[in-house]
Amino acid sequence: MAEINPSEVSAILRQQLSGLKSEAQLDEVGTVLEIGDGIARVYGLNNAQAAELVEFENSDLKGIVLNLEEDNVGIVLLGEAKNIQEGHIVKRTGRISTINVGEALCGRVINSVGEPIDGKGSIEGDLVEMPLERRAPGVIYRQPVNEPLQTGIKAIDSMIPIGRGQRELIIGDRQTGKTTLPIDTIINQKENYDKGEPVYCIYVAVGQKGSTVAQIVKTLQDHGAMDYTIVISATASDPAAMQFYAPYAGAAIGEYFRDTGRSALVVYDDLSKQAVAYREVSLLLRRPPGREAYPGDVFYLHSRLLERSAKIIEDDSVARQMNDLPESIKDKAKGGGSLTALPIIETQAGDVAAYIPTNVISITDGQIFLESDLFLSGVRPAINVGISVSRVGGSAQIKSMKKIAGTLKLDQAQFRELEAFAKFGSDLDKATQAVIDKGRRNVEILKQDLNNPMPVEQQIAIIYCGTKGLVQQVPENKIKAFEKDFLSVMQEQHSDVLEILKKGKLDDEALNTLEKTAKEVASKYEQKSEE
Amino acid sequence: MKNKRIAQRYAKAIFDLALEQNVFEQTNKDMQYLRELSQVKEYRNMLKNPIVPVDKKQSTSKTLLDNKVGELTIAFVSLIIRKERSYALPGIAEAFVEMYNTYKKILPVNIHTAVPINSKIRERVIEKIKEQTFSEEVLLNENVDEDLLGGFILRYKDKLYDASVKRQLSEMRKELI
Repeated sequence: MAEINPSEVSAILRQQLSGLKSEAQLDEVGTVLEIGDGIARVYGLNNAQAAELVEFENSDLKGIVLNLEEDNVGIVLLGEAKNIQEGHIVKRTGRISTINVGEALCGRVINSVGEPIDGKGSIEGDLVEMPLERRAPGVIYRQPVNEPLQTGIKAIDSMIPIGRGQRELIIGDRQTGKTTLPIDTIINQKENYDKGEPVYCIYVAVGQKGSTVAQIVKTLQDHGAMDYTIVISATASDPAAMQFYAPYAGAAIGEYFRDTGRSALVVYDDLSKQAVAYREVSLLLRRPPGREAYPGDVFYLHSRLLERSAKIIEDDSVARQMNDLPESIKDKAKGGGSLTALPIIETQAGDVAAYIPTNVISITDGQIFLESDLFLSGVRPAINVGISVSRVGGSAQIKSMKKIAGTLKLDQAQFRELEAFAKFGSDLDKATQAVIDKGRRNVEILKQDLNNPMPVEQQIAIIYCGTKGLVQQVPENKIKAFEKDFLSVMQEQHSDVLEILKKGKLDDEALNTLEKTAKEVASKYEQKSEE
Repeated sequence: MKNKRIAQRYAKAIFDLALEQNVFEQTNKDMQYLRELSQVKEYRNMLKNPIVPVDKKQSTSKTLLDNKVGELTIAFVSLIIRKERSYALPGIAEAFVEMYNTYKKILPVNIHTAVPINSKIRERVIEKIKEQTFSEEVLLNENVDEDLLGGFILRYKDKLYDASVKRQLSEMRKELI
């Protein structure tokens, strides 16, 4: 047995305590006037700033100052108000609310203030403080979107392309696959991660069921996507303040990656619940209600959040001058980073003209509409191509995809229009019939299974077959089988062609190979249908 | 909070009037008396209770205050009750004393210690506070709280200076755990 040396033990203890500041300092304090419903009114705290973090005595509870009034301040609580009574002391911390961010966050599930909630212990490693509320980068620190963010979803990458730094809204009723799209997108970033150029993903769950969040984390784990993903969870049982700050925490983490020259993707799932949480807090703070009882600044709540998504200018020296860059990452700042946002809004019975949906539609750079009719008729992802747009993503699409999918959106819109006629079963002229046949086959091609993102080169290959009408003779119900067959042939025999497509090039030789292979594979299915 | 605003309006009125009529010191004493009086639960409840008729409140207050406070204060209290603001009376007295203190640059200070302080320390504390806060007079309110174990806690306005052994121990605990 080793000998125990008491003096050594005490030396170590002393060393651990050496950082302790025993000196008292002058605190600025206030006293609780009333507390309850997740908010507190405090008398005193005369010099408190808006959005400042305050601490309650006799408990671990923290709060954020939201209302500054003549004789009291309104504070939202970031936890349960246990053991706090009228007359208790509240201390200023002098800090604006922040979250600790670092590479070590990847793979973790945290709450809105950065505390881990996945039971894997504290977050180690280098952490820097990032403010929850921060002004968005100014005009001169930005550049236009020019790099694609591959979602791995055929319908999106071909017709509604998303660029890095873009804000693309995903909107739809409940049960239309809103969450699935961004989850697939996150899974699709594995390729980048394996390549060593990760797109860091942040999934913010606001007001969801704990079980749903657990399910999502499991899905991501199963696909090996948690290695580069951070999940922020503010479930329905968390205080309203935690729920409406969760997206800000997500943005703060995203900004860390963005400002250090890397790409990040943040998913806000969903902002309608965040608005509801904010409404709750606002009403309790007695701010005047406006339309649908939301406070007047609910637009600002979303616009200032979504403005923080940006593509930062490549020039390092300019990027380092960025406005409101926190001290903590000043020396790490780099240009060329991006933060892409995929906010989600849930509509009620397809009503996109409600308050929050119209607000967020007007803020974002485009929207993806999901419809339950489509979903139920088996078109999954249930994207309504006609009214979904991407206002800036087009310039970020890779050349080969742009060329091949160029007409797809128009074709599909035309098809939707004519489809209505086809339902009457009346005689159609040949041209109309051709459009409808092609449209139906394209719809089949654009269908995609759950959690099964497709590499862009394969997307190009299969969409080429659709737009060129190479599958016209293949029966609709055989399209899926054809797709599988065709892609495996392409991978086995013509991987060089796929390689070329992936690079964004498109030459005659490649097109010829595509065409030839498609015809060969298609012929197999045509014969069967005639039997 | 609404009460507080009401209290400050009325307190300002009587404050200005007292200054004008040169009964400033007297009114301050009256208000302090009133403040103490309204600590009495029965009187406070009666003032608050809307069922008690106004003239009942008037007569009770008059009996309680007669020969103890100045004319101005009696008239003022009578006005307050007539205007059905009697529930705000404790707050008004409080607000008046606060105003008086600010006017006279008197600083009320709360000090909590583990053991009673002796006069020498008291003088030094007062001297130190005067120096730091530029106030002309310090009203020291002493409390003994054995939980502190040692040291002291000083509180004035919205400032708190915690130099207690209790805080140091709890900070040490935070550091270790």
